[in-house]
Amino acid sequence: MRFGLAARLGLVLALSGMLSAGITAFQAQRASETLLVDSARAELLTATRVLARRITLVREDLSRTLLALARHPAALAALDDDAQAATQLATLFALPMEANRAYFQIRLIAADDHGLERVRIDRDGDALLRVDGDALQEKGHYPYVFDALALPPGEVYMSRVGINRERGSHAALGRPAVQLATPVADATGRPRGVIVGSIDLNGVFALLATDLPADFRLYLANSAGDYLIHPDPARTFGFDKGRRVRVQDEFPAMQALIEGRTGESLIDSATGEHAATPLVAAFIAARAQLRTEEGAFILGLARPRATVLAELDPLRGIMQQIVIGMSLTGMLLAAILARAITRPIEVLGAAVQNFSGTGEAPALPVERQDEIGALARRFAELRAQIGQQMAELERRRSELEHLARHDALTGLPNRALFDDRMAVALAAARRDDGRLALLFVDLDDFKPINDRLGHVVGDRVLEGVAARIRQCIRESDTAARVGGDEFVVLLPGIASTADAARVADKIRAAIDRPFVIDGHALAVSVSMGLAHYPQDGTDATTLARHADRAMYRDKAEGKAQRRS
Amino acid sequence: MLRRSSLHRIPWLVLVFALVLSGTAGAAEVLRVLSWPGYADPDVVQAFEARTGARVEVTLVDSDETLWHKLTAHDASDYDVFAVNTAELQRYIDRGLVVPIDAAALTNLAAQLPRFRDPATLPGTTRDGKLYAVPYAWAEMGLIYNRRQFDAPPQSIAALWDARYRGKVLIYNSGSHNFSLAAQVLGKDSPFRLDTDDWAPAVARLVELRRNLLTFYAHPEESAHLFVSRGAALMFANYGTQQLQLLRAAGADVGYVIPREGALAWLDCWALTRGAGNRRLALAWIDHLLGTGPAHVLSARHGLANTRDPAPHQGETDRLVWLEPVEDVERRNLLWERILSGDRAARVLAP
Repeated sequence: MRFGLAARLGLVLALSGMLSAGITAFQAQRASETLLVDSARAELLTATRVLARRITLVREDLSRTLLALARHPAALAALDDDAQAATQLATLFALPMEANRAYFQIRLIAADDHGLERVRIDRDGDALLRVDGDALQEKGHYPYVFDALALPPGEVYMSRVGINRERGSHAALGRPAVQLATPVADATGRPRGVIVGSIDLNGVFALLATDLPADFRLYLANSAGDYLIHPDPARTFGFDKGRRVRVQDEFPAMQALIEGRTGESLIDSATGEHAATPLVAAFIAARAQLRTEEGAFILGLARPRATVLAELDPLRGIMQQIVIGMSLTGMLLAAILARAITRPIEVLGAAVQNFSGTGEAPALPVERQDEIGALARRFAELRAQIGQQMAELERRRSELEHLARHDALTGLPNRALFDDRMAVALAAARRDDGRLALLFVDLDDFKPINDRLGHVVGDRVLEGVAARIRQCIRESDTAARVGGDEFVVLLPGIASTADAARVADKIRAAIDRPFVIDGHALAVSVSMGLAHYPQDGTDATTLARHADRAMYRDKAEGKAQRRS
Repeated sequence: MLRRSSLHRIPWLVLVFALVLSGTAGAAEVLRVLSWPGYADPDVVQAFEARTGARVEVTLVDSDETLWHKLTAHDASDYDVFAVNTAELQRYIDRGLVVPIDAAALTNLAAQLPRFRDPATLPGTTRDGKLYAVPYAWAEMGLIYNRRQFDAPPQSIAALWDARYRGKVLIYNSGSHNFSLAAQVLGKDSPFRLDTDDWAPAVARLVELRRNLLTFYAHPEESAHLFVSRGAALMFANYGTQQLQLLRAAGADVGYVIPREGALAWLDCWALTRGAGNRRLALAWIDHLLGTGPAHVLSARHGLANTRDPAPHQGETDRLVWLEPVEDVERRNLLWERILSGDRAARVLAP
C-alpha cells in the first residue's frame, strides 16, 4: 500500500478537503474584512458624532460658567472701578480655572478705555496668576471684545481658532486657543464690558480624546479645511506660518464635505501618503450654535486599517484551526474509505493467491450488498467450480497412476510397481542388515484351461489365484502378477528361510484347493521357487535368477511326481 | 483589475518616456529660471521657447527665505536668472551673488514708464553706477476708504488716526510696514530708518493708531470681509488694488487713494546670477518679459502692475515709496507685537 490505490485516494480526498476548507476560509475572511471596514467606518462615524456632541457639551459647560460670571454683581462693580469687587471677581475666576485646566485665562474687559482689562487671571505653568496694574492690556481691537459687545446679554461669542499671539498671556502664548466671550450689561441693558474665557484647544481635545481607543486618530479642521488638530502636530495651524495644510489635500474625498455638499464623509484612504498604512476614517461637518466667525468645523476620527482588521485575528485563528481540522478529518476519512475499499480487494487477492494452495482459503465478503459483494460471490462460484474440476482431475490422475502400476485383471501390482518395491525392500534390508525372500509362483498347465474352458474362465482362475495369494501374505508383503500365469511375492523382513518356506507352502496349499467356476471344479497346481537375501543374492537380478531356477526345478520335480 | 490597468498604462508610459527623451534630446540651450507664481506662466514660457529655440526650466518659490536658500545653496550656480524685490536684492549684491546687467541688450527698456527708466528714482536697483535689477512687477499700498463715510477722499495717512473713524479702521498686521507708516506720519525722510530718538514717538503713534482701530488683518479676503461686515471706514491696503477689487466685487462703495506722504510700494525685478551659464539667453528672457504680451498677462491675469502701462488708480504725480530694508526688523516686530497685544506705550518700550 506504499503508493497504492488507498494512498492515492487518500491524497485526493485530503487535498480536496484542504482545498474546500481553504477556499471557504479565504472567502469568509474577505467578506469579514469588508464587513469589518464598513462597520469600523460606521463606528467611527458614530464616535465622531458622539465626540462632536461632547465638544458641544464641554463648550456649553464653559459658556455657562462665563455667563454666570457675567451676571455676577461683582463684574459690573469691577467695571465701575470697585477694587474690592475686582478682587472678589478674581477669586471667582480662579475657581473654574482650578477645576478645569481647559482655561488659559479668564478676563473681565471694559467696553471703554480701549478695551482695558480690569480683572485677569492667567494660567502660568501649574499656577494661577492674577495680572494687575500696568500689565493689564487694551484689547478693544480684538474681535472677541468688539463682536461680543455687540451681542445681547446672555449670548456667547466664539472667536476663530488660532495660535494665541498675545504677548504676556503666559501659558496661552503661542498655543492653539479659542476665546469664548459674553457681554456684561448694566441695568439698562447697555454693554459695559465682556467676560472672556481663553480656552486651551489641545487641552480640551486631549481630555476628550482620553476616552478614545488608543489607535483612534483625531482630526479637527476649520471650515476651509486648515488643520487645527492632527496626529502630526507639525501639520496644524499651517496658515499661521504662511502655508496651507488642509484636510482635503490629505484626503481628496473630503472636498465634498468642505464645499458643503455633504454633512459627513466616510473614507477608506489607501493612496498618497496613506498607501503604506491605509486609514479608515469618518468626518463630519459640525457647526457651533453660537455667534462666531468660524463656519462649520470638520471633525474626524481615523483608525489604521490594519488595527481594524486585527479584530479578524481570532477569527483567522479559528479559520486556520478549521482548515487544519478539516484537512485532518479529510485525511482520516480518506484513510478509512480507502481501507474500506482496498481491504476486500486484498481479501480477493489473497483468495486468488491461495486458490490451488493447501492453505486455508480466506472467507470472501460474499454477504456485502455492494459491488465488492457481487465480485466476491462471482469469485466464490468460480472458486467452487474450479475446485470441482481440480478434484475430478486428481481422481483421474490417481486412477491412471494405479492402472500404470497394477495389473488390470487381478488388481495386484504389476512388474513396474513390484520392481520399485523390490528396490525399496532391498535397500532397507541392506541398511538394516535384514533379510527378505523372493518367491516365484507359476501356474502349471494353465494353457489347457484357457484353451478348453475359454479365456473368461482362465481369467477367473487367475483372479482366484491372486486372491488366495493375497490371503496368505502379510500386509507388508507384496504379491504381483508379472506375466500371463506368473506371480511373484516379496517377503521383506522375514526372520528365517523357514518362514519364507512356510509362506510358500501356505500358498501352494491354498491354490491346491480346487476352484469352482461356473459349476466346473478346476484343480490348479503351481510351481514355486524361493530366493533369499542375502544368501542367494544381494541384488534383484541375482535373486530373481535364483528364484527362477528354483521354480524350474520345482516344476520339473512336480511333473516327475505327477508322472509317477 | 490591477493587472488590467497596469497593462493599459504601459502605452502611456512608453509615450511619456518617448516625450521625455525627445524633449531632452532636442534642446541645446537651457535657461534655469527661479520665479514667483504668475511671473513665468506656461504660455509666457512657451512663447520664449518658440522664439529662441531654448528650453526653460522654471522653479517657483513662494517666500523670500526660500529664494535666498535656493540661490545661496551652490553659490548661485543652480539658476541663471531670478525675480526678487528691491529690498531683498541688497543682500544678494552684498554677497556678490548677482552680476551687473548690460542695459543695452534690453530693447524693451525703452517702452517702460518714465518712473522705471530712471534708476536714480529707484533705490536699490543700482550700486556703484551699475544696474543690477530690471523692474518687472510692482504694487503700492494705498488707502481704501468707504465713500459713504467720507465727504472727500482722505489725503493723508494721518486719516488712519482720525478720531472720527475710531473703531472703523483696519490695518495690516505687520511690524515693518506699520512702523514705516508711523515714520511717514512723523515726517521722517525715510520711513525705513528710525533713529534712536524716533522709537518712542513712533510707538506712541502706533498705540494711538491701535486705539483707533476696528482690528487688524492678515489676508485680503479677511480684510474685505471685515470691512464690509463691520462697516469699516478706512483701511491700509497692504495688498493694494487686489483688495479694492475684492471689495468692489462684494458690492462695497469704496475708493482708493495714494496718500500725499507717498504709498509704500514693492518692486520685483529680474536679476542675473553670478553662475548664469548663458547670459545672452538670460538677458533675452528679461527682455521677453518686458514685452507687451507678458506685461499684459501680469496685469490682466494676476492683477499686478507692469512697468509699461500706467496704473489705473493713480496719477503721474502720486508718490511711491519703494520698500527698502528697514533698520531693525526684529525690533519693529517685537514692539509691534507688544502694541498689538494691548500694552500701553511705556510698557511697549520696556527692554
